[in-house]
Amino acid sequence: MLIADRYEPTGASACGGMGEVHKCVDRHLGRDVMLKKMRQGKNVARLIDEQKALVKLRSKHVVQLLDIIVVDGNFGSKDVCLALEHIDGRDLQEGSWEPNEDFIKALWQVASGLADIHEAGIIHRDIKPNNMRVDGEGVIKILDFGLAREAGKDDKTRSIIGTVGYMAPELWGEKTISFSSAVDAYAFGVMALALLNRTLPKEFSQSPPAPVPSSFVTSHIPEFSREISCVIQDCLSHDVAHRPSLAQVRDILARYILKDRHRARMVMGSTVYEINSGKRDVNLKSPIGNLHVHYDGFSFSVRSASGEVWINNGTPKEGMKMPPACVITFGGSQRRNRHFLTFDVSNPEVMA
Amino acid sequence: MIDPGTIFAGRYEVCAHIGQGGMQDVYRATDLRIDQDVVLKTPLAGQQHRRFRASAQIAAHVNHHNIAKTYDYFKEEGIPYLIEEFVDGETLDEALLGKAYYIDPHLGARLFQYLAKGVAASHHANVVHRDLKPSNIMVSGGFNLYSVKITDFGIATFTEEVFEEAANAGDLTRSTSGTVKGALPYMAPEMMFRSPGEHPGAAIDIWALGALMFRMLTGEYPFGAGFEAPANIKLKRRATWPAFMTTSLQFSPLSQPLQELVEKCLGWDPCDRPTADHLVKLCEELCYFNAPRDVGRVANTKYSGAFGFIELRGKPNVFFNSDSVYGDRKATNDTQVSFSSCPGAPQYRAHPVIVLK
Ligand SMILES: Nc1ncnc2c1ncn2[C@@H]1O[C@H](COP(=O)(O)OP(=O)(O)OP(=O)(O)O)[C@@H](O)[C@H]1O
Ligand SMILES: [Mg+2]
Repeated sequence: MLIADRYEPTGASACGGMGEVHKCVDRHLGRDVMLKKMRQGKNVARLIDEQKALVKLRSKHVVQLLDIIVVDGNFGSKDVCLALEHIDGRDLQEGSWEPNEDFIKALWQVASGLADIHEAGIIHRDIKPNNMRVDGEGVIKILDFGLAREAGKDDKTRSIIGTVGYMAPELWGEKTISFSSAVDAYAFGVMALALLNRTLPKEFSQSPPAPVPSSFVTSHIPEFSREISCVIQDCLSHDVAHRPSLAQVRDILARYILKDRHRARMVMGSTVYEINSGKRDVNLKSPIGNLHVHYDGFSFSVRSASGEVWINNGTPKEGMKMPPACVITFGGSQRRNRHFLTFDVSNPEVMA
Repeated sequence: MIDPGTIFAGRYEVCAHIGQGGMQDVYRATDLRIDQDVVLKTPLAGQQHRRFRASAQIAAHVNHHNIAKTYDYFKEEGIPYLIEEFVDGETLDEALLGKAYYIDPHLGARLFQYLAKGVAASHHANVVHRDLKPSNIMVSGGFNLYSVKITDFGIATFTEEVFEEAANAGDLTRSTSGTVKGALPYMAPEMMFRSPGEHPGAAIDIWALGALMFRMLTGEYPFGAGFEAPANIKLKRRATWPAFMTTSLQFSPLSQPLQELVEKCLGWDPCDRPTADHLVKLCEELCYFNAPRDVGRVANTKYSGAFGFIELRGKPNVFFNSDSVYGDRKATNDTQVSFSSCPGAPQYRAHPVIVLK
């Protein structure tokens, strides 16, 4: 049997939260696709509109929609089916990760994808490990937008929908409540802990979840650096306004991925100084001025400055961050022998 | 030519003709069903389309964000059509060398990494592109490289057939086909001088990447344009690196490893070239400065060009020092430049700066 004259079921199917998923072969291109039957009880045109909104979102971390078909369902109903790209890979698994560098990179990818989704004005509402897949190239894809909503539109709910454990506390009320992208931040926070090979306390699995102490993440995962623990802890906050945006989370994670991987080169004539994780300080001394630059693993900053020294023509202040490309000048414009040094920071790029 | 408004397969509405290569016509179209821009490709009238489908299917098995996605393939009235991801931009040639004489190593390092990743993904799927060249790479965002996507993986085996025919007809290097001519500057020696029946492997894509990066970094073809390439390759006579790449102590720490990488890719023996995976690793180690780029006009240079200012519409002028101007061209008054900028007092300071055409 061919569906829509094109898709041939392979027999493999899985029941997702929101309907059946069938792996099919797309006869046009001879490749696998996933056909996903959308949840019933909704207006077909509405469902299609929602999917079109998702297509506008271009992110390498979001599964690609290929086709929308309407098939005859049971009892004369119409079923909307989505054809999605088949991601050849494995789902993210609870309890399977160590809190190491690879893990931070994986979290960074998820946060990047969620930030893209939110930037497009969409709330996912069902973030959890088995809605994420790592493809053969190591790129994490966010799947299953069955519960997704456009922010500001239709972002109220009365029924309790989602996955227990990942649902933000505000979703558990009895009344009609409105929700924001902060529900995804909460789910992200839970996921960041649930992926690790450590048992989560019962507070998380209660319905609704109970708050955890403000030092919880730090004590649960002492391997995390303080800033990362803090941002995950903030995601878990029961105060919606206190949760960070996923773009903030993404940027903090990226900072740690690049920790100790920057280089700054200073060139004066044919003399070159380099500062990096192996040599964190340079102390430039001259009769007319001194400048001490220090690298703390994240950025380069002025430790101390005295005399006639300028950075990009401005006065250096203690603690000031060095611009990533600048000129350091020794000697005021009244002098005949001023010295100029170029200062350039470079680093590898964080890229999926 | 297909008229705008024509609808194919009940869902793809043609908007405009956007290009034509040696074998296919390219149109921008809208996929009405899911409301997204796509590209529709169809073989030129008179071209054989025996293998259009096979090549579409090959391309469809590669899925990576540095590769234009294949969405659909169908035939109408006996003519095959391919639907592919639309990249809102220009070809690599137009986007970079159409505007600059060569690109600086910071931009080069980024570009290299994107391309290596795309090629690695295709090699993982056992697909060799075989026809990597600037016109088969689409770029959006100009010097900001918002996206870089390799296209026409599909045409690989198709092109292969043209090469095969050219080779059978006599000497591949004397073929009159425009497609063969366009591919020669990026074609690996084992492909160029192969005997009929020989099928060079994945290392030909690595060579092509090396040749392509040489061209972007220097503005020159490593072995000359068109039919000069085979002669020079036979003599193992490669263009030399321009001195400006390594004379400046500010740029040389990045230019040097880039040159080494390109030279590895251009190894005469395919076994000496890095695999795509290895190349990705090497590219990931490159340290570069990656800040957004603007285009502005140089004005008000001082002390015979030792420094000056760049006018940016709607923004305060940006200061630049001639040391930051990469390459052998001077940023004189009224030249257009592409640059990144950093905070400074009272003006922002530009670095790096490249002179535009
Ligand atoms: N995915 C795409 N998105 C946007 N524009 C595209 C896309 N693919 C191709 N184009 C445009 O269509 C033009 C023609 O492409 P085509 O592949 O037919 O020719 P070519 O690669 O320049 O030459 P040849 O056929 O000789 O290899 C390209 O130069 C580009 O401008
Ligand atoms: Mg092409």
